Amino acid sequence: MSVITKGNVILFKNVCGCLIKHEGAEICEYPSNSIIYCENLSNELAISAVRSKVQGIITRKSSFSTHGANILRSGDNAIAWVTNVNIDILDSYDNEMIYINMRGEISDAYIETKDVQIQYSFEKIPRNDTSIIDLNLINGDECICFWKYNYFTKFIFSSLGEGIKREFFSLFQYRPYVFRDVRGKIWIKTKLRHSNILEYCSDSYKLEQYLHRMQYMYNNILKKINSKYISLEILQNCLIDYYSCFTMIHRSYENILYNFYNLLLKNFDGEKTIEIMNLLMTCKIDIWLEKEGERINYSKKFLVKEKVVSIPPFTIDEDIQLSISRIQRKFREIEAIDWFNENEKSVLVAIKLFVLKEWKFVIYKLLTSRCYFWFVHRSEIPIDIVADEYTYSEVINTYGDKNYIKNE
Amino acid sequence: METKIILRTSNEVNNRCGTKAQGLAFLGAKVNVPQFVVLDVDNFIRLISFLNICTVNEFFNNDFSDLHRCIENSYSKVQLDYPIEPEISYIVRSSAVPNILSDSFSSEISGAFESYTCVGADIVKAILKVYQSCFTLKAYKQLKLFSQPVNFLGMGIIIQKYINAVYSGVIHVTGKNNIHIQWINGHLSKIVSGKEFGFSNLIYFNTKKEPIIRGTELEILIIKKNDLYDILGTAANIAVKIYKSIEKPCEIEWIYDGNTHWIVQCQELLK
Repeated sequence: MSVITKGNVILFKNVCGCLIKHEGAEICEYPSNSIIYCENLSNELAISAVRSKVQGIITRKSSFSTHGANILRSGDNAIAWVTNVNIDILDSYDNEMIYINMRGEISDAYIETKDVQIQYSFEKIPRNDTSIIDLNLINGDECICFWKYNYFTKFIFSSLGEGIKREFFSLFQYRPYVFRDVRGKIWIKTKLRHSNILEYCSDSYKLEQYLHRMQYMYNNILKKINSKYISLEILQNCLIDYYSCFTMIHRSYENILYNFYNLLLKNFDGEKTIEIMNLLMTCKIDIWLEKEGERINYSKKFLVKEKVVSIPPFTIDEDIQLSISRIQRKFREIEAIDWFNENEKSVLVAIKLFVLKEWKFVIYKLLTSRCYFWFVHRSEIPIDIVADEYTYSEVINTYGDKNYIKNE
Repeated sequence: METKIILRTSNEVNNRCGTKAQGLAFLGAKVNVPQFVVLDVDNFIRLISFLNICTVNEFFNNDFSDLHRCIENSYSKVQLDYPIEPEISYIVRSSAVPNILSDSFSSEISGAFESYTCVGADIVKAILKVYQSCFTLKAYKQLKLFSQPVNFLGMGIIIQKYINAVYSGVIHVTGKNNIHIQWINGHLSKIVSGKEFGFSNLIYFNTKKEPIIRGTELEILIIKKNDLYDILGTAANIAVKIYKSIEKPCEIEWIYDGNTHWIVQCQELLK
């Protein structure tokens, strides 16, 4: 018997199963007695795991706050999940029976540990810095690329770049120069760092204002695309609005939720804290997403083959309100409504942040699926070439915007 | 009985002085290279013959511990025919000489032999220690891995005035806009020995020919805090100058002593 490796436990219980590697970006079927391992907890992996009712998941990256984690939480069956694992080691155990215990130890034989009721951990996983900076050694000018692993096409950048400028303006009151390099990395000419964004997020007043703007923008997008026909131009405005919210802050929301978790821990015992966090980190849009699952392509890539995603039959405001009521009820149940009232602002910010974060994905799919629809109905346009070589305006100017996108 | 070691100045360097020495002599006309003198491979062969060990190509089949002992015992028997200032610090380095003199060794054998720092008074001891490093299992294995011991004629030696490094590093240039710099506060021996990693960055030139360094938030913070703009920018500029003159991908070792950038080594980069 030997421990192969160890990781951080996110969802824990003792499990055993046949180790299978999840590859690619497809939703797959797995035997229910399997343990899946993969780089990230992608939405596709989470859906595959929930549907197949697998025993456990092992990932190299990903944390409690990913969409995938929400899908696992929303699923009926409890799945063990260990992350921060060097999964390369696991390749030699492919198709073999392995064990995961509640300490996060992965072994090739059963190690006896006391089983516990399934719980969720909100432990913060250390993240690698994903920023790189280009410093001009003559004049000290700096450009930062916040997403060094991501490459964007010209087409996406024509909306994303403007969105980033607008978000910067709402955060720091100036519009930086944003550009895309030949390989597709996005650079921002600024001396601001991720730490400045974190600092911004730690100011609850500023964050509240920010989330308020985000909610307004998302509502606006929903309103714009809720008409029977929309043009590509309107869609682009929506995309710019979409990218102007939560693009820069996206890497920091985990810290906000983690801070809230710590605030709860200071005042409540571990069990209650986890119960509240679990409740806070579920919302109506996740359940809707799970139900719509088969109709949605979970890939985050732009212009992937997909059907037009329908608009959810409830609003963001309703979803937030529902979450607030649920949390309020929970605090009443545990006789801590006074604490809730005293810390209402922090609680509401955490709820709003989570709900909006979940809606972010839906808004993205609403927009990108419509974009894809437009391209498909213009069969003379080679999607890949256009996406790589044309900006949004160039597409409209070259091919015209006469084919409106019909909402289903 | 005594054997004398004959030194050549940098102007007298030829293909019997080894690849490294030839590289430095070539660069000396273009960039700052610390003053150096060289012992050609004939010294090595003469010494080995004097020590009555065996022929050069048979060394590697010998019991290395015996060879070490033999050389150690010979320290006192060797004299230098060149005025080395006893108080000044020097670095004594190997310069491998290929069997076919028109060939050259590149980075494939870097690190196979040792370098030693000493004051002038101890220079002979250091030379012998560098020779001694030729007869180690490590050197043999590295030579065998990339080349063949039979391709190795012997060892030249470079004696350079020691440069106190404020910052130093290694640069790999594979194109005018593809300069990988590894740098450290202090002497680069910490990097090349693998004891420390230092910092590793890409440098390229923008359309205005200004050097741009790419790094993580922490690396850039350190560069700014220590005002290393000019030090790293100049190192990159020198690297490009060398690259243009030799027209081959190369590995360059540089030292900044607080005033000047010195190039202490340059060799063709192994593909």
